[in-house]
Amino acid sequence: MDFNNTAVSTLLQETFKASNDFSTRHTVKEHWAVRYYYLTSLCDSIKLNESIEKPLLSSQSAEDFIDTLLTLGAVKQPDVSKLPELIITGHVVIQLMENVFSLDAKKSLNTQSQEVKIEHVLMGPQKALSEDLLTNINIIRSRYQKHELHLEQYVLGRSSKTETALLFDVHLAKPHILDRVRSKLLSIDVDIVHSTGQLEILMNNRRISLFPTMITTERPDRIVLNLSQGKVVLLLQGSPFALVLPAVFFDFMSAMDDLNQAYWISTGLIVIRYIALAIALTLPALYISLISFNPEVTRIQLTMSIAGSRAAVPYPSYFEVLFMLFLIEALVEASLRLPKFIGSTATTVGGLILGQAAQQAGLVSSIMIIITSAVAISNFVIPINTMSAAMRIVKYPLILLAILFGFIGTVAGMFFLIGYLANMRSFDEPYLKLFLGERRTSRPNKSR
Amino acid sequence: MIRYLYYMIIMCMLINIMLNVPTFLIERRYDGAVMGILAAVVSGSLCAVVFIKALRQFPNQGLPEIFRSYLPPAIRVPLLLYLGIMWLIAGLIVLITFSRILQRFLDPDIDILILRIFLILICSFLAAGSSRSILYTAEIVILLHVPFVALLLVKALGHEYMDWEAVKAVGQFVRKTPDLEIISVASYIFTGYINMAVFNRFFRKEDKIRGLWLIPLAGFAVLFTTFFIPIGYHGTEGVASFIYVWVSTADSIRMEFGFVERVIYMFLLIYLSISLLFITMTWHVGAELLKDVFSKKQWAQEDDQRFNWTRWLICLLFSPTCIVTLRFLNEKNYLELTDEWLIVRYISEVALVLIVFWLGRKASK
Repeated sequence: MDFNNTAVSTLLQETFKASNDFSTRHTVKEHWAVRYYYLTSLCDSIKLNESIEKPLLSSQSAEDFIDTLLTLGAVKQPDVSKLPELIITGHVVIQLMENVFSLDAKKSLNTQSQEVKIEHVLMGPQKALSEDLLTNINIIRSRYQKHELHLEQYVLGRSSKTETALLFDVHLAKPHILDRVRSKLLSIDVDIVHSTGQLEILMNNRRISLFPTMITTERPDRIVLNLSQGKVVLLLQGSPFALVLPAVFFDFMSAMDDLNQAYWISTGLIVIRYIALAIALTLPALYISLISFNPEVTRIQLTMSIAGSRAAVPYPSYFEVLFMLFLIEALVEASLRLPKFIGSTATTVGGLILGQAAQQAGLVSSIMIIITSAVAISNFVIPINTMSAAMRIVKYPLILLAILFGFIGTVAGMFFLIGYLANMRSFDEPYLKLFLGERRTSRPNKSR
Repeated sequence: MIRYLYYMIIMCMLINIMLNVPTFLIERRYDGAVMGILAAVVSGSLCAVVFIKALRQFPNQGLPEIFRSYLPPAIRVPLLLYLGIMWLIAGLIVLITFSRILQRFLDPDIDILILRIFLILICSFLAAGSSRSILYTAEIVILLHVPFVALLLVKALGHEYMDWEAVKAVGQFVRKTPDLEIISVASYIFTGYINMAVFNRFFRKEDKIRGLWLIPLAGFAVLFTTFFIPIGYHGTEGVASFIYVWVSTADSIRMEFGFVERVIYMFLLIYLSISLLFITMTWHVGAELLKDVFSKKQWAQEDDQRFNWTRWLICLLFSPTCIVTLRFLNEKNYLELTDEWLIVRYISEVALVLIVFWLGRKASK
């Protein structure tokens, strides 16, 4: 038996000379021979068995086998130079007489959707996205059953060749936002794209940024809700998070539980969330202003008790604040990195023992301990992690302004923050604006 | 969009305290201030209604664009220069007065120059932002603070120290005829609409203007409280002995069960935000008018960028020159100058309203 084009064989053998997982199979039947190449690490042996080996054994002639292959989704490849690329992406290259076919036999890992890890809700769907793109699209399509849901595919990253899906409701999404997203996706030129967070930075086109302008979420119900509000969703192969855009400030302050509860309960919870945001941002700055600039602002009893608790502290208020805030930030960071089993030890040692001891040693006032924990707790109330991280950082400029100008600095800093956020845009949508008039897609309308 | 018009008007109604309006009126309380207030309500709301209605002829256009299409350059350029500088001065007066109040009542140790530089940096940076963003900021700041101001006023009106006899005594001078100065100072309350000169760019033809009748009512309520509450607290004679009469009035009110017992601190911090908003907005309008003098091209909707260097430079260069001139003025001169400015402002405002009214008639033909 001789093959007319041995070029294919030599090319592939040469390219994958150093890869031990490269495999070549050769089968000869009565009048014809089949040779196929694949990477054992990428391809699913069950799929290979089902779509090549079994048909091969049952086929009577070469034409018969080709028909079966084409039915199973094989594609004829006239261009030999593209073959290494196909093998890398998990295809099998099948050589049969003069013809070369390729067939997708990729083994998918992590196709199970995971438990929700970050955005917990009390009563609501408990499953998050998986790490497999097709599974994720499946999850979204089965929750959003409209033929208007369009899907566009992109490949990002020169080396990682990450498959990316752009999903949107074609009737609701704004065309100019779609155009900008498309052009930004096409302009991305890096080696490796792994995570949605990285993609967000790449699409921002800004080297220095603080506030997120796209939501990173792992919840399918949030994705679907946003799709129905006319937003655009980006999914990455290998990432259990989706990127939703454009996103405005209020999106980051909403939890999915808001939809599951009665109006007054969810409104109450939203109000609590904004109070918590205000506390997390301003409390340390207000403490400094109160102690070091205007102790007469609060009523006398309160001022006396604060001053009393600070009696043993030997340095100005801002040392105290910076010291305790550093410790709590370090504690948060440490408990994130530590294995789960040691994490609780760190919080106990850090939070309980250290706080108690620092207060008894007279290094910080007991009021400061309360403030530190209030700030830390309030900060975690913000539902979307990226926004909560941004707010963790924002309180430090406010502290600096409070050190310099007291209450004036704090209030002026808050004013600047509001002005700055109002000046931001997420894909031409105003970032901070009251009364957006968003489509209410999951609550009864007033008229009904 | 139309609600933003009302935020501008509310902002100017609240800011009158920083522009010496109550002090000036109280000084003239026996010489026609009461009648002046009533006259100002009429004149101010009339100006507001005429100006807003006239601008309806020019949807999505600001004053610079209107002038460009109807006036020759020889008139347009000096007019815009004059208006722009008047706007910048308005912000600056509030900045200077309020930083002085802050130093006196909140932080006596602070270096006032550094405080002013700090506030100038914040306001000029925000004033350089896009016009829409300033409207969004205005909405948030006004809605956050108006409930507190309302609480403060209710508290003040219902307090036992409020002496209604003194109010009645001053009210009896209602028959005195006011002069131009009183009317021009009192009508400042209504000036908020004038910022439409630039912000009209974002008001479309379809936007219906409703609730204009609220302007005289709200204006009258604000003027009444701003004038009579200090009189009720300090008495007909005692009230004249304060320079910043409202700060002292706020200091007379106590919240028995409040977290912050002395109302003055609440008052100062509320007014800090409102003043910053006022400075940002007036500087933005002023810089936008001045910018148009120097640019050859007409403004278009997509020019509303997030940060504009020209606007920023105009604000940054303008404010220090004025702060330097302050070295040669003491506080008394300065307060007199503020009153002069208020009068000049009134005359120019009426003139501007008439010009726009005339242009509107011309455009509708």
